[in-house]
Amino acid sequence: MPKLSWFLYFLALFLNQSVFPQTRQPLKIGLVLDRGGKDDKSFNASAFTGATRAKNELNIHLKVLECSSDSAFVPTIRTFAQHGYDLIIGIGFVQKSAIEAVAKQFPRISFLLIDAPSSLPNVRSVIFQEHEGSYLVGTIAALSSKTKTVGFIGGMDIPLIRRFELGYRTGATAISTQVKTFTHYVGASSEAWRDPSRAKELAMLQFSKGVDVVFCAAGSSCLGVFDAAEEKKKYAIGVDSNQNWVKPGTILTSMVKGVDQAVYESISLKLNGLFSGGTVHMGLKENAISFSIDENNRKILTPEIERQALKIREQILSGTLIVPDFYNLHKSTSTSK
Amino acid sequence: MKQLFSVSIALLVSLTFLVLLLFFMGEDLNALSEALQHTFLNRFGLGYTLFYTTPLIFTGLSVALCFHAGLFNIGAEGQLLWGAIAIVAFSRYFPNLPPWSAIPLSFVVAALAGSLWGFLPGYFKAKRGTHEVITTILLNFIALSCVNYLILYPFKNPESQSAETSVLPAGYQLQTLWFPTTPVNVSLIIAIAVAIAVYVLLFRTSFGFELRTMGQSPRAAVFSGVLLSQRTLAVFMISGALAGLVATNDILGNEHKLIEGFSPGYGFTGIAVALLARNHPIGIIFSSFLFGSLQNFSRELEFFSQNISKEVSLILQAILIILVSTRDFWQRRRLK
Repeated sequence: MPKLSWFLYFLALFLNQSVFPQTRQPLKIGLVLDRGGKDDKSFNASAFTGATRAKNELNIHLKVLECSSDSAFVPTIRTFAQHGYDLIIGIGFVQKSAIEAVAKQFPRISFLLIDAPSSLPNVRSVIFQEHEGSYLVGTIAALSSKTKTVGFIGGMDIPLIRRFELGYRTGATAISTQVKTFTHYVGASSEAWRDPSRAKELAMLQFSKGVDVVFCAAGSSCLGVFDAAEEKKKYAIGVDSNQNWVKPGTILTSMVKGVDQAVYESISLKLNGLFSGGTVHMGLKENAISFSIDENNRKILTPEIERQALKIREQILSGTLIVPDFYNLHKSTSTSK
Repeated sequence: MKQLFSVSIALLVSLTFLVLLLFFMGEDLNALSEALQHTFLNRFGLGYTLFYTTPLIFTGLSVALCFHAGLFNIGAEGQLLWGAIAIVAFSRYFPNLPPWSAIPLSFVVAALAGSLWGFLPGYFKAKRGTHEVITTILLNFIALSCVNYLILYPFKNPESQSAETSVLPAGYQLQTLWFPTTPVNVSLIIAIAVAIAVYVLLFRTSFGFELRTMGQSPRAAVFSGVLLSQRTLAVFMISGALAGLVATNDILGNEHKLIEGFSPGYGFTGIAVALLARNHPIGIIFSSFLFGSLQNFSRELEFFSQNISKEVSLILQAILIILVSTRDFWQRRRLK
């Protein structure tokens, strides 16, 4: 009798494995947003869009968690790892050390890190060529400016944002040596990403000095800059997501950073078993960096300026124009980040 | 006993509220049981719960000690920040200390830094009669700005874009206890020991007796020969030291570096912790555990549910505190 039951047991196992193949568990994807949260209309929103698109189009299980403080990253990422998630995505350079700490403990789980390099074999890191896009919006700003004075407002004063600034200022002054630029940073601490009132004051200050187009790369602080621009009837340039819709008629264009694209791509790579570690650069060539044109800014961004910007884009793509990269100028502070 | 009863009623009511909330949000109630399991029953969850308990014991004690002397310490947040930066500074100047001296000295340094910051409101209160609620709250902002400056400039990790200090030397890194992959460390044991010490100080020494007299009736204390100003100063310095110790758990035990904004408001939660425990040092251990588990629970609940966000834990905390603090109100009515 026991023999028969063994036989039945193995038969059941066999049937289970081959005749009735188990429906494959959907891939489990965990997305950890930084403190801006998915409603920041900018950086995190872009990541959320990409992940949601993957959820709708591919067979995956997606869970998104927001972190309320910088010390919550490790436990949040680790919660995903502990529950056997296949791919865990950390948005923003602040998550670098948290992602790396967990990635070392869970070498079989894949991780995606946005905006900071990592050398771990199971971490894929995506760096965007922000300077290229910033150069383009810099030229658009200079061409649109009537006073030939343009401004830049950065969030936290770090190499990443300096990279935006350098590209932007180079682009603006390339139009004409007469173009004047003003630069301000909201702050030196991470509060700088969430301080719209201070950003608004800085924008007002720049407007009072004759600036009439301002590019803002400061997370949710930018909402203050947009407010100021609307009040003073000046132009602002959005960042990361296409922000043209936030204040139609005020936002000249947005320097779009394809965080959504990077997130979506990594998920589909993971799904197809092609995921690999290493640092990936995404820029104009991959169409991961661009400036946005839609019905919200069609009226304020003239076709002539668009044509010129596209021409410069071609020059960067073909390599005849090289945009200075803050990371290369200051290797010591940025490569090992 | 009565206390336990009222706390369990409060817990039951808030749990019922949570169940109703989940129900009306259309959530699967399994999420609740899963989250509870992952907060208390599995090693990873329990580890984090205990890790979150430690800082609350310290700040809870810090607040409670002042309460006993009739003083309000709203400044634990600032004091713990100074404790944290002091450890970083100390490790900078003595990077090569072996663990057996680096760890105890770090505890001492953190406590000293906290107590120095506690000295200020104590001094203003004792010598100038400035209300300590005002000074401690305002000193929090000053501490935050100063410590952020120190993190961002002198102690900044030059290789990181984040606002954080460099990683502490190896001798300063505490290893995890009992629960692998979680950061529970020896500060938990020290926190419990300190709670017992505070109990002894308050209820078994003449100093503690004086403090409690002072808290219940300053005039009686003065007439019995207590030097109020001296005691005020001492209480604030001890409270500051207790708050300063918070940093040992996070800095030595977990991140091994100081990240800007590392405290999610431990100093303020400490007020709730003390309130829930009715300022009893031993009770604080348990109420810290409750608040620590709430902190961990909220993350797990967010993980297992569809639409519940972290803020739910804040609502639960608020309900708990309201219920426990209105206990007096119910009892008085019963007396009438």
